[in-house]
Amino acid sequence: MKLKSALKYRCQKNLKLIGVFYLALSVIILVPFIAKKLFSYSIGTFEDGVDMFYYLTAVFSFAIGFLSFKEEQDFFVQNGAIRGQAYKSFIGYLPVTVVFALAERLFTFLLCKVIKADYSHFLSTKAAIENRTFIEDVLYETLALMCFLCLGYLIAIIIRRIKPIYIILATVLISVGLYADYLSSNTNRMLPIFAYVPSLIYFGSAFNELVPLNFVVSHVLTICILLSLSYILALGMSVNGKEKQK
Amino acid sequence: MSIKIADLTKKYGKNIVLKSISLEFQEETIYGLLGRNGVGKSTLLNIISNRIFKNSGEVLVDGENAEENTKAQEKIFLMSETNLYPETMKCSEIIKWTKEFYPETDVALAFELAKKFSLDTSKKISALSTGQRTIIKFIVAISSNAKYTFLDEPVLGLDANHRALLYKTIIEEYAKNPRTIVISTHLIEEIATVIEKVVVLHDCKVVLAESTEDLLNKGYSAKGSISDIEEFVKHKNCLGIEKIGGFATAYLLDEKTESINENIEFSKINLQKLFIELTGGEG
Repeated sequence: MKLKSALKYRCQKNLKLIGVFYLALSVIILVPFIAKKLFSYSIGTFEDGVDMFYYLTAVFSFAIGFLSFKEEQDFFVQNGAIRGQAYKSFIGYLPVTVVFALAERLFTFLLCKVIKADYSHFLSTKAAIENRTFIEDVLYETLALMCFLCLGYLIAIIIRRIKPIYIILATVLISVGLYADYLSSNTNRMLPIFAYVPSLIYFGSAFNELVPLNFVVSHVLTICILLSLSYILALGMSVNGKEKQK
Repeated sequence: MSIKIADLTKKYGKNIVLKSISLEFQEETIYGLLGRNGVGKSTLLNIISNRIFKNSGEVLVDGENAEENTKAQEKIFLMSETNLYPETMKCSEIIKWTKEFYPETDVALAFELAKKFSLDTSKKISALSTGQRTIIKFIVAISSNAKYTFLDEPVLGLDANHRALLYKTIIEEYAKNPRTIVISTHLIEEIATVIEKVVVLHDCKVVLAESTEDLLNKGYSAKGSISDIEEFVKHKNCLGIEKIGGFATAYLLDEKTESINENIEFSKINLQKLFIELTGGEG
């Protein structure tokens, strides 16, 4: 019962945010259109530029995941929903990324029409180049957005759960590690880990070429890892953010 | 059917807040949970309602373990001191969502109470004063009709008129729909007429769990010369003695016995005085 209510709350709560986001995207489309009409402003065709909506949607998914934790967790606890239900309601909310992916395709298509880009199909730039079908394209994008949503959720939990000093310390250590990784990779003419790992997750290969099966597997695995970490951290957390003491 | 707490211990780091507490909140009773600042009243309520975790012990709600248990938590509503509602949420939305999570919620009653307390339900939480925040939290708590309703500091920031209305509402709603209500507060004298049973926490332990009536019947003071009083309190449950000049006043919690010394004056003591003496006196 409470799980259903929690899921309903999550959907309704984010509806406003989603509305504002797509309103902003509409403005992004309308501005060049009006500029073109009023001032005969030439926009040109920018092939990579039309993937802008994908990046914006990715950031938005991360933000939704991030915001999903604190306020909603507190609200659920106040209403007698246990941590497990709050967590399950987040999992139940993940399919919203299908809507995000479809909306992103639609907005990209509209933008392409406005700026009269070279292509007018309902696909991303890379998909057009790589001859992907529409279904494949939406599936890939949905999985990628799910990763961003889960990552935002996990980071919100980490920030709440771990003392700020440890977060700063971890950030410094990771930065130093990445820099050392970059320097050593350059010396050995190898791809640094910080470039290799995201490339492996995103493309399913370390060479920026999309391998469909690897892509799906790596994304599903990433989602599972992020959700498992979130589960472990969220389930042992008190309302005041203190960890479970046994 | 009750909430049973057995051997419950809670520590924050090295600081022990609750030490091997055992207690029972029976069905359809109004309790007063009393204790000095930082004694663990809120901690106890937070543990029962699964907001924080215990270190050891057991909390059973109608025989079910309370920790991460939907079946147990569905019966509990905790009105906490801290606000857990989103700041941007309107009071009317809070009522609506409480109904969603607690289907027994009486929405009509909630709006009626809001009117009585002069609360504008179209206002957002962020626009409310401390007192108004307390009011909306109290309204949803009492309207939720949860079997176990915990009110943690329910009069925080309320003026005398609203406090009187709040106590009246508790009694009226309890009469309409009896349930277990636990009120944690510092304003002891004000709730003395509302509560049926008293639980006093002191030094990490439950030092008293008794019916208010019995407690008030058993509590009395004896005033006389220091020597007479010292003699009188021997073998009695004396909570404390105040000495001024050559006179002394003893506060006792015991069956009242007639004094052989006519110079000893007896009088009843109120709940607040009893509480002060039970929890280590003034200061």
